[in-house]
Amino acid sequence: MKYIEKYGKVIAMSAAALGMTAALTIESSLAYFTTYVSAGGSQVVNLGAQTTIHEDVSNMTKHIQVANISQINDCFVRVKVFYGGDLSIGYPDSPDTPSNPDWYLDGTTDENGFRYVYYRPILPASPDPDRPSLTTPLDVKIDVPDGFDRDNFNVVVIQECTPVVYDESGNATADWTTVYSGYEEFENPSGGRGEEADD
Amino acid sequence: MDKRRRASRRGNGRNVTYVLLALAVLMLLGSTIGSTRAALTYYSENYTAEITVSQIGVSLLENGDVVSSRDYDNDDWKISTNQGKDAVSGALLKNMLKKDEKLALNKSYHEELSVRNSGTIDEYVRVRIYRYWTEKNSSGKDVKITTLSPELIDLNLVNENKWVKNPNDSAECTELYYKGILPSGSETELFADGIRIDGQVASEAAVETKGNTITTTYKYDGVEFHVDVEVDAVQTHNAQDAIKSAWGVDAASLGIL
Repeated sequence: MKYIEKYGKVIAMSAAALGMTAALTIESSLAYFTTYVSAGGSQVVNLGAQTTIHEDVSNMTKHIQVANISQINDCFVRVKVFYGGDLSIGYPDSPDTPSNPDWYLDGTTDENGFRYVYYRPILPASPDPDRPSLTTPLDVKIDVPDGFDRDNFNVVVIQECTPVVYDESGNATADWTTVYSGYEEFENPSGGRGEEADD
Repeated sequence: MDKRRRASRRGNGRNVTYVLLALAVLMLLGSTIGSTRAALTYYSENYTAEITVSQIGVSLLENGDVVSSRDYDNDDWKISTNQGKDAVSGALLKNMLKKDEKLALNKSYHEELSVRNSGTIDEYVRVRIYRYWTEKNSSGKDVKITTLSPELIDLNLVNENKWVKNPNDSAECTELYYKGILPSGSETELFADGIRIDGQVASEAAVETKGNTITTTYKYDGVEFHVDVEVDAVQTHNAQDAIKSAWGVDAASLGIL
């Protein structure tokens, strides 16, 4: 008590001085001129693709066409023709080059010797589902050895598609490195693949 | 002896009081003379004075157009955006795609971003760029996707000699500090000139075959990419402290002063 009586005034004055100094400091911080602006934007990335294959056979030649039935996304397509051991395939004008210049072979073969045939133009999406865009025909000639049953043989065509991407020069191109495998869909409690976005 | 000492202390105290009183009187007199002098000279000349109030302001420009600005004017904040009257934030990427154009992966789209000093005082500026992905959940609400890298949203940053990158950036937020003072009415060099969505977004897909129809479903089909930009400006007077106070960084060590 004696201590407070003796130094009370000094303590009070010191506290007041400290308070005033602190107040002055705060005021000077608030006094800086500042301003800010903000802006934001977004776009949706649509990636789905749907294609169908159409095949006809006449005169031991397969006429192959691929349709893009997606209403949103353009794509590139390619096909591969599989056949049995005694058969071989070629093209009407050449054993190695498709007659239709829209289709080309890239020169690589898989371990069984089969090759992809690529469709050069972009196959655009069509807003009208009844009129999907269609590739021009790829004619594949089937060579059957003598004595082979011409009514009973298997030539299977598979087709793949990939979205249109662009290279460094801005040219439309296809990226065939996509991993075509089932992926695991997982969801968090809020229903998305991650945390909830800020509003 | 004690009585004498106490009397002597009292005497000293009184002396100090008298000296302080005399000083106070002198200072008071001195200030009166000063103001009298000022009064005498004030009326001896005619002045035309132009008073300019310090008004800070900043605008964000996209492809040469102002998308958002906030200027102090006539004791009030004047906010204008390309979103209309009541909006406080501008809209980016509105004209990124032409009518009926579809977003293409890996394609570089024109996106020039810069800052203009729309105030009447010089200022320092910085921008903060946020990139992230969202998708709609089952109830239609946007949720952030944390499994898709913000780096797949490739905003092409340019003029790196004028825009200093914060070394402590995160993948989602990039901070750029404009080197030097941005004078009133001036515009910075571009800090970005294009945007591109990396084709890696389409790197995972599942294929389903039904009859002769093949359906390719991409893991990230329908996701939405976002780019948000914030621009901050601060006065140039007492810049080091002002920047430290407003932005929390050491301007000198960043080399922007």
